[in-house]
Amino acid sequence: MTAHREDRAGWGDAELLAAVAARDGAAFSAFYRRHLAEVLAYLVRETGDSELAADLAAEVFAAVLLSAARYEAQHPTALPWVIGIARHKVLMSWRRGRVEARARQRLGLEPVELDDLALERVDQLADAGVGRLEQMLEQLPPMERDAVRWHVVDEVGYGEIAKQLNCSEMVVRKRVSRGLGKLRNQLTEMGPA
Amino acid sequence: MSMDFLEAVEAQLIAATERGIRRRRWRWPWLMRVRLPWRAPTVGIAAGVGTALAASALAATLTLPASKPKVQATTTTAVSIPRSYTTAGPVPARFQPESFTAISEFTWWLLGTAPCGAHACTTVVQTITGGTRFTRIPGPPTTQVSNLRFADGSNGYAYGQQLWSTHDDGATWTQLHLGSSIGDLAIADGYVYAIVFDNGQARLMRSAVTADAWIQLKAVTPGALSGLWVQGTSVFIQSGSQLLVSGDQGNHFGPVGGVRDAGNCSYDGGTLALWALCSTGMAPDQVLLSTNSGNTFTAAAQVPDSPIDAFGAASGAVAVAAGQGPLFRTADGGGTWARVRAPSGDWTYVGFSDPTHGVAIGIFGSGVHQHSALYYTTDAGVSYHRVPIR
Repeated sequence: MTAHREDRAGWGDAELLAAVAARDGAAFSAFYRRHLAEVLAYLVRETGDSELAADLAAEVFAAVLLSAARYEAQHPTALPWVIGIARHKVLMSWRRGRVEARARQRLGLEPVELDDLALERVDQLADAGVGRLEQMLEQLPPMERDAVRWHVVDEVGYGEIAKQLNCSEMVVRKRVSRGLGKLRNQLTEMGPA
Repeated sequence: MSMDFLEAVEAQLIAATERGIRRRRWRWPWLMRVRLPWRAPTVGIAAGVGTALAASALAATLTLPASKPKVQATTTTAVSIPRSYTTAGPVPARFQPESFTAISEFTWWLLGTAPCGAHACTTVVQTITGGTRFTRIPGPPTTQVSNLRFADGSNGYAYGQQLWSTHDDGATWTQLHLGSSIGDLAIADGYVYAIVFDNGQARLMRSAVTADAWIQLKAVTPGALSGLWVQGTSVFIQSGSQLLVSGDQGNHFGPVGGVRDAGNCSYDGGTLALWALCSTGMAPDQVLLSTNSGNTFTAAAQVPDSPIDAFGAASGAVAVAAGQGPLFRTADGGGTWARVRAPSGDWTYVGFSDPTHGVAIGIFGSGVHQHSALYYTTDAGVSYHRVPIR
């Protein structure tokens, strides 16, 4: 690696993913460390199993690497995109009855041994990730928080949210956009997990 | 102090980032038809994780019903509970194909999964009627395989995290302990070749298909080996940024020139017409064609729907390429590309077994309705029709 991860810490997610697609290992490292805790938090919550969560997290970030060139910035942070990949991996794993490993296989990665110490760290990071997400969401103004929860977490469309709130779709879009923008700023301020 | 799991994963992914993404590897086979009636590729279906997933969820606030089946870990420490259909019978309901292999126009096998109780079990199905009727044959008692290859009507291999062989058309399977996982496997001319991962390195190994007698091919230095394919006595392998070829069943290797940074390319075809699909950074995928054994390559026209995830060559002039969306076909050596008569999907594999017959596997639908399906062409990729697996 010719560049250091720290050099990339101030970059936005879209910049990092573009650099990843251009083979910048330091950019991948910065992206990985920026989002690992939240991804683990999601996966632990979904599977209820730290070992499976760690295994799936490896698959999720392998898929991130494979898909980096296709990333299109729709939000200020790529976290929804990454969590979307994680959710897809969980669903595929449930369907198949085993943890998805296709992205890792495609990259030719070897299995990595997972010991008790590593599991403890997974739990710690996941806890931190949950805390960070909850903390960040709670700091948003209520209307923005609800809009982000409904649209990003529950995947309700802008139009449907607008109907429920009796406002225009544009207003909902602005609330989601502003909320996500604030989340990104908070992530940057909080630094790596 | 040794790295823990998360750091080791990070290190592997950083290394993968810096060496570049290697596209799915396809097999070619049309030239082999001279020697074998129908040799077909084996593929794995990759999860669709493209831009369609961009709008999704922030994690921690989600909950899911507790009734969802527990998934099985793939880490080396996980205990593998065999979940597999190990007996013959009808094709299970909701069978999802993942890997395809064939030895003739009529005899194919598919490896995939099908529900069994609360789990998804490894399932192998076979047709001897060219896809009009399938039956289930015994599969290896494991979920740690995702690819299937048969050399002939008796000898076959299932591989992935583990490697299993059968020498009686699936009636019995034996696990082979060559290394920690299998990166790639190819069969030709009575031999099976495999890239075996072990202790952080990849080795090239070979065995006669009729016996599990594996030897390491010392002509290739262990290290960063990726793509592997074979044609008759020729063996091609990607080693770092080089493409190497052996003309004597892997005993000696030499470099194939003509394409820069060969490690970024996937290949299809053979020594008479060699196609390359190269992916570099943010640039669109580029298809190249060589008609002089890889000494020089000519760039094809841009495929309309780049990036390309699946590519298959039917001959020196005809090839099909696809990503997420339609299939595209060239009939003039890459000069132009036209849309194929087939549905749009997340195509994960396209391959030809002779100049007119080929298959494509794609993922269709979304969410709980997402499913994989097998498509077949008998007109050199002009059109594909779905093959019901029942």
